[in-house]
Amino acid sequence: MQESLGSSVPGHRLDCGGKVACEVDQKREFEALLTPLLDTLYGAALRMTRHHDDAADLVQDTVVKGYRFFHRFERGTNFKAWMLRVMTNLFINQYRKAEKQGEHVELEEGEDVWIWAKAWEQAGNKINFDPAEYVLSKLGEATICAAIEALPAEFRVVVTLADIEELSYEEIAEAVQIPIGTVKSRLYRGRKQVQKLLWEYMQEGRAA
Amino acid sequence: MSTHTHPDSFTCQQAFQRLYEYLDRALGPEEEKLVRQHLAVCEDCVRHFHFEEQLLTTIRERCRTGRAPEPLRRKIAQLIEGL
Repeated sequence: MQESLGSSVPGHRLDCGGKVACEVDQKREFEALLTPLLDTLYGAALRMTRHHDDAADLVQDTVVKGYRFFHRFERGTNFKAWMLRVMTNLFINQYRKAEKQGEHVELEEGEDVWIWAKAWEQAGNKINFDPAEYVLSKLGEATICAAIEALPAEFRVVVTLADIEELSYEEIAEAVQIPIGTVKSRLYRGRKQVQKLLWEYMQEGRAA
Repeated sequence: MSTHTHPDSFTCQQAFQRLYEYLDRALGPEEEKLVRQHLAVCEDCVRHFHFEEQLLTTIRERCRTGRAPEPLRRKIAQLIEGL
């Protein structure tokens, strides 16, 4: 983990007029970068942990660990991706242990569901049918979050980082510490499962 | 799926296999060009690709509305002071 947080040596800290001054500067810099990110971090933590209390704990742990390794953060690079990497690492190492003690959920295998095709089928292939108009207005926040939260952890993390936080495949690979090919396959399967659930919720009239 | 062809482009199936990498802007320049060339001649694929893009945008926009609660913000401010 430590290696993955960047390799810059902490030498640059010596240029700001003594150790105490350096630490104060560093703290202010960290705080300035962190504050605009708190909603993002909390949202990601909520998607990962699925519980408000656990999300708050995860954000706090992320802040502590992020600060501890802040000297390794390469200035000018993407601080959001870096903090999400710290968070993902903590989530995988700590929170999944607890999840594993419960029932381990795997993604069920099955045919891919494409809402696009399902909607067309249901509309009887009418010429003027617009699946976007029919589907997208029905998908509210609660429905979408429920579908993402129903994913097993390893898929939920990848879908959250890609589809909500807009991290690149490379950034996700570094955060989760898996090869890019695995990022792509988990993202594909996670997205397909989300579509399948969204379609089911719509059919059950649960979507809103 | 229809089978429009462009002399140098992908078939519908080949384009569709690259749907997510295309939308995620993760294809290499050559493959991206081949997908683009296919989309230029295949209205069905354009409409489906556009739908998938809209679906992903909808998911992102509607699922990113959370705000860090005030007690957590206060705790973090205290936490940083104490670090």
